[in-house]
Amino acid sequence: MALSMRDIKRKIGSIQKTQQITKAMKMVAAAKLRKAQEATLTFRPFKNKLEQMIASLVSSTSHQDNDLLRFRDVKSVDLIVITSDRGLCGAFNHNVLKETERLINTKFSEKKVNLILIGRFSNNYFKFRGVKPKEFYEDVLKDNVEFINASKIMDKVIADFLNGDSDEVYVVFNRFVNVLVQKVTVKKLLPIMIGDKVPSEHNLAEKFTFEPDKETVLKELLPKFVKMELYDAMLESLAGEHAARMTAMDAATTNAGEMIKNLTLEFNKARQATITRELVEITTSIEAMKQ
Amino acid sequence: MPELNVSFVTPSKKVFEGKVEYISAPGALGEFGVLPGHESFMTILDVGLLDIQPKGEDKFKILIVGGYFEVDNDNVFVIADEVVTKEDVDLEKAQKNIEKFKNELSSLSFDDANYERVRRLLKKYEGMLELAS
Repeated sequence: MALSMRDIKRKIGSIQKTQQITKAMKMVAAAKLRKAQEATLTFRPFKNKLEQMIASLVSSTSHQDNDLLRFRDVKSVDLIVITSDRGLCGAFNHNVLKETERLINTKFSEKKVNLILIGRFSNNYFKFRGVKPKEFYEDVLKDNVEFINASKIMDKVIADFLNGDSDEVYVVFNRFVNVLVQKVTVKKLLPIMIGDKVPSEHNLAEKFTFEPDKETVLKELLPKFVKMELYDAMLESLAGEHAARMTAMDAATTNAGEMIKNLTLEFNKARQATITRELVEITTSIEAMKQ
Repeated sequence: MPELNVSFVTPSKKVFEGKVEYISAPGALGEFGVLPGHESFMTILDVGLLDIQPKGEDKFKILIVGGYFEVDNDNVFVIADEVVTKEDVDLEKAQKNIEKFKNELSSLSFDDANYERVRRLLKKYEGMLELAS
């Protein structure tokens, strides 16, 4: 039997409340997304500038002795996995985790993989599968990303890389393409690959005097650059998270609307059925009394 | 009168942008000052106080914890890892940390991997005191 009118009414009420919540969450995500995008926009030019400067320094110095640039035989790999702290953002986290699993099983299947997890989600995921991460950070991706956090995380990673504990470092994260699309990206952080970004016409390094000298400046700038790469990935991921949540909540709001529509229809039908039944009862009883 | 265009940022925010008469900064080889017409030059920064004399405004100081400094054609570009302004200073905490890191530093040898890190931390908190005074 179909649900009674009262049941349907109650159901509609509850869905309406849910819809209000999802609507509010969508608004919040939209506001946060705007903030995250602004942060990305202010940061980009400086990163580009530093990148150019480093590229030109690398091409004009003998950097063989710089460990951050040197390739080694790869035995162990550090994977930095960036997910969100909170859920309700569609397949956002799942995509990153799937890609991580894929990397571990294919590209790095012969190698020792250490996981450095950022975000509560990835930790829960790997804990459930009995994988113990090397490092785990939470609450670093909140309303905004602090560079100092990226810097601290990277300090440890760089130290391990220089010790020889890891031979390559990758970061897996969601790149923010637009509000509807976040693309899972795998980026190599260490050893640093530059090379193809050298501005050919004006070699910046020629123009400047360096203090104390080019090598020292380069040595100081490279770790900074890697930190900025991670910071950039974190910013992208944060923007992506808000965008994914916004889309997910938008879909949820639409679905709730759809459900309410169907339930209202059902409610009307139930009401009409009751009315008809009552009418039939009355007319039959009148007919019965006539006889 | 010639002037410098300064843009001073940390990766997460803009600290200062504008026309400046004079700027001095803690270079890796010692403090240096830059006036308009300076040769193109680039250096890394230590921990210390950055002095800025904006055009037509009061001079101000800011504590900078490591960074990168570049002058090119009267355009100055500073990236700091971290900055501390006078309002941010917590004197009591700074004093305590100075004691702590001084002790730690004296127990480390020059070639210890942590020596540089601790030295920077100590300098950061000493800089805070100087900034507040």
